[in-house]
Amino acid sequence: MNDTQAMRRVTPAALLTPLAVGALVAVGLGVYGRLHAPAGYAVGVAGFSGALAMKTWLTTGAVVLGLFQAASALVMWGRVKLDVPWIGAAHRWSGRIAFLLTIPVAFHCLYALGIGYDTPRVLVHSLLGCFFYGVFTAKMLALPRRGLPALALPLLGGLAFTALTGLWLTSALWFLTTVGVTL
Amino acid sequence: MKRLGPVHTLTAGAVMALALAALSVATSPAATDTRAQTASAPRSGAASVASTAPETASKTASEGPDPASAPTASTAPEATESAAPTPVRADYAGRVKGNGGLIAVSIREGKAIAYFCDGRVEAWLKGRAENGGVTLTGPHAASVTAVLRGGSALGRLEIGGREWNFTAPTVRRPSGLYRASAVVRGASVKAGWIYLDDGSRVGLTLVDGRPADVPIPPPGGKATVDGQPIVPRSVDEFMGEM
Repeated sequence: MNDTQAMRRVTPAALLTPLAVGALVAVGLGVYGRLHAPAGYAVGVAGFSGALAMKTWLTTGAVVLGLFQAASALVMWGRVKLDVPWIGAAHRWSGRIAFLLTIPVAFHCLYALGIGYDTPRVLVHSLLGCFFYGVFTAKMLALPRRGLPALALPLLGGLAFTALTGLWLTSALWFLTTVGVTL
Repeated sequence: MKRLGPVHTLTAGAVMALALAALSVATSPAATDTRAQTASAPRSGAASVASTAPETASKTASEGPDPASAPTASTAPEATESAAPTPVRADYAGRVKGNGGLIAVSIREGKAIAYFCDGRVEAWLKGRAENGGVTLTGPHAASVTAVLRGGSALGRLEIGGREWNFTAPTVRRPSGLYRASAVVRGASVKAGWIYLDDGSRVGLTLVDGRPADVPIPPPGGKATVDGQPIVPRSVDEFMGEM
């Protein structure tokens, strides 16, 4: 493959498929969350006092890794001058782990509870949750593509990070402040 | 490999979600749920009779089912009573004899929670459901022990150094236990409500830890604290917090 040459030609169309698939994922999750009758119960990660405590801590873990994502991206792209040769690998693996940490959480949300719009917090959380997986899918599919606009990856990554932070604020922070800090 | 890395990440996530889905469907409490409910039906009528006349608790089996509670009642087999296993999922609510309060006990997957409230005093308890019974403890040395027999929880509540007996038949939504946690204008709001089939209800709303004068909402309705609607959540919705 002729990597370096292909990189220089910007073809925004390369983003079309990732964005379309991402949109499908977001809408699909939302539709599933509305149509599926909440089971009130889901298998999750053992070792916590309850499902919400489990979700709170996994999400908190994902957000901490998300902060590292933002920081390591700055280093990777040379915005912060640091000579860390392994930063790329660290960025990829912390991202993978963060994503996998969110899966049991989102699964419980969608399978056991479903999309809700009773209160602004729940509504915002539901919408952000769908958006997060959409934008994350788009970013993952965009990564291997050639000729992306320079802004594409930072924007998709930034949106994913913003959505994740919003998700944490509307769920884990709520749990920690209204229910209490419990493992 | 590197080029496909992101796709592998997505695939791993999808596989994980599918595995969780398969496990959840396989261990779903739904199948045992219906069995527990039909087996419990005949007693729920009898037990609500018992709650108005405590002395009759042991002989109410022969009395007819309460017409208000369960139209499907009379066909359930009596045989399930003797060797009743611990239900995977059950909701009980009834009166505490002699102290004017109501108690609710709910079981999900071996975990048990209970709520006692008389409008002024409340206690949230949690514990385990096993061997056909529940054992729960709460703050201030509150405890509940009960045996689960014939679709009712028959047991004892200890709170503030005193003890009471209770009989709590199986209840179904909108009867049963509800709870709410919210923040209204910076104040932490915590509330619990119990509804019985006969229309009895009790609840307590704490605003920043202090009892507030908040009317008990109708079953399925919302409470209003300081002008803000508070949505009572069912056991399935708040079990994870406990």
